[in-house]
Amino acid sequence: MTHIPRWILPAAISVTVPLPSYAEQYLTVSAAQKLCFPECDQFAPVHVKFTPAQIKAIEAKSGQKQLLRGQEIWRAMQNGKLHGFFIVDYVIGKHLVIDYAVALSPEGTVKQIEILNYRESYGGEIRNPDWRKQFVGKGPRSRFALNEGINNISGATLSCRHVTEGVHRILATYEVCLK
Amino acid sequence: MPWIAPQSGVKNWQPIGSRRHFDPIVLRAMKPLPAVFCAVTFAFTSSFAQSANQETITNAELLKQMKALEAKVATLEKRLAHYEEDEARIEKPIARSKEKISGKQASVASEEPSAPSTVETVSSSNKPLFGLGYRSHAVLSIGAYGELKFGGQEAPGGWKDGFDAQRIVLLPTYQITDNIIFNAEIEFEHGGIADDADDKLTGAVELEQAYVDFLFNEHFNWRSPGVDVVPFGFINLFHEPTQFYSVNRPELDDGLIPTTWFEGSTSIYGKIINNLNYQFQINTGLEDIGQNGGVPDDGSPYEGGITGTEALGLARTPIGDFNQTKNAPGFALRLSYTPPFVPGLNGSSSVFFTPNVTPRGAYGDDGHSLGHNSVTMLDTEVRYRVPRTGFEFRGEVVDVIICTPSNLRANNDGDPENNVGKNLWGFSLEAAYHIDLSDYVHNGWELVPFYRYTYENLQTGGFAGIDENLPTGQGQRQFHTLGMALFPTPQVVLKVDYQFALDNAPDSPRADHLLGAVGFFF
Repeated sequence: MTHIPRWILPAAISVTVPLPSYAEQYLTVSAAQKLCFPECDQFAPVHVKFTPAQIKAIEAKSGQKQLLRGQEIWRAMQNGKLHGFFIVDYVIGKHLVIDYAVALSPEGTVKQIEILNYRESYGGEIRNPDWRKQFVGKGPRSRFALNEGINNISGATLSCRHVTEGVHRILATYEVCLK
Repeated sequence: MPWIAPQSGVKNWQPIGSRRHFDPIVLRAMKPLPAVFCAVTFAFTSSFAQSANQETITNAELLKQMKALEAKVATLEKRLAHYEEDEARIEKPIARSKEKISGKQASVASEEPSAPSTVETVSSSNKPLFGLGYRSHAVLSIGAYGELKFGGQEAPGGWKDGFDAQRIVLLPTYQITDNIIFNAEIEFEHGGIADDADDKLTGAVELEQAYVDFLFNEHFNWRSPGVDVVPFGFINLFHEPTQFYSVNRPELDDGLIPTTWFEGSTSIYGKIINNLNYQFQINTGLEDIGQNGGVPDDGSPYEGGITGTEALGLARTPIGDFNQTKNAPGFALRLSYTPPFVPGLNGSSSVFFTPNVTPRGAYGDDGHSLGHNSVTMLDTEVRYRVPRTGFEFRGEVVDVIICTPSNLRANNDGDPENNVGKNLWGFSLEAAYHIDLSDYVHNGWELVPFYRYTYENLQTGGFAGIDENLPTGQGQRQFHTLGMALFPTPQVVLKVDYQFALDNAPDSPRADHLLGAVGFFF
């Protein structure tokens, strides 16, 4: 009888286990909105399309290149009262795009960060709540950077750095467009 | 009634609920309205005229005409709705177009929230606004990293100076769908290869990674069978030159861990709990043969894959043409952690096991067959960046356990100096300090002086085999590496280091080096 390499068996099992072809993203926008503002009953889209002057101002304040033409923003409301802003943003991790959301207080300080979709093969540790918590309370005037107020996760360095830069850009966007 | 509703505290909002400007896009959408009006008017007047002129028309005919009229109106309404949808897709948030369809006008203050269902429509559409089409179509990205080295190395007869285009690596990544990702790593080593003698190239072109990732959820993802690095230690997975400060990769990754250690493999990976992740891989394992083509069938000598001089540097299995020399798989499990109670600390622990490394038909120099031999490898490494200071510390320990040393080729090849015992092991400790040069040179520049101590013992006790056992002490090694890395940006690094390389052999040639390097990763 022909000898079948033993390692074929576990590999074959892993291949043939029925799995769905497509996954859901880790968080939908509406689920993330509810996570960030559980008390709010309404989210009003107030998306901003940047003017050239605004792009220039955001880049000057954040020190980051603004590659987006606009920002997806929602006002989080409870009974008509503003509780904050929910902003969806995109950064490149190592090669692929990370979709994430920043919840800001009405005064523009970070309330929460949620990773909506992470696609890279390595670096998914940025989803850890403990890492994301480091941004809470940071505002447009706060000084922070990777390893200066925001601890790095080695192995996820690029994702950590780019999300940190993205938060800087979001806070500058608040100052320029929402304040 | 104002044209734009009050928008306290917010600039540049889309005027949701407020009266629209007649901007060019709206005017475009308005184009069909006169046509609709004319068509409806014509239909009514013609049918009225018909009925006036023909007083003898029957009720059945009248009913028929009314039905035809209804169908026309329905068609026109559809066309109108289609135009409005186009407009909304081109420029405006969905909330605005819905309101337009409902016929609501203007004066509601923009603070008034839209219905939750509207928000859901935006989120579930999976199409970012403002042309950020990342989520809606496949994306090809080609990254790269490389290391170019120069300097001098101590060798018998004196120092040798020179240059090495050690590696240029291309990293194509293709996002086939949102959850199916292709990754590859194609490496050109030492300038590549060429047939012409005048090119004088002795390098390689290697496929070090090629696989398709299926992302399911944060706890479970599957890496399809392909070529992938073995999840063992840190540098084997993250070996770009910006990840370490020395010119060469850390010494533990130059034999004890045969970095870059890649195999034919398949994996699952994800998060276990917060701050604890896993990767489990089934791969083609290691093999105890250090040359191409498998065990010679003529009984001639061949090189072992695991030796007391090269450690496991020659033990990787080939990835091509079904050239692996044994059937037993390898299993690797790596747990990586970022304990929240020690901010700045990252670490991982890895284990690798293969039930057999002995190739088919293996023999000792006296012709006896070499039996099965399992190998277990353990690794733990930590990296600690002390918060709010420039200090960084790294440490790693590796242990390779040979189950049956008597079945190793190195212990049966007639060479008494390259034998291996029950273990090969080593550890390293490293301290670095990050100096921000923003105030002195340029914003973002960083200098990282470092020192690393490495100890390796590749020839411990427990030898068994037909060879004489006369280790010279060259398997007991120490390395003192002192240098600095300058990061003009996080993507580029300029390095220089001096390494004192010591071993316990009384007649070992000195093997220090003074090297510089340019590294990049983007």
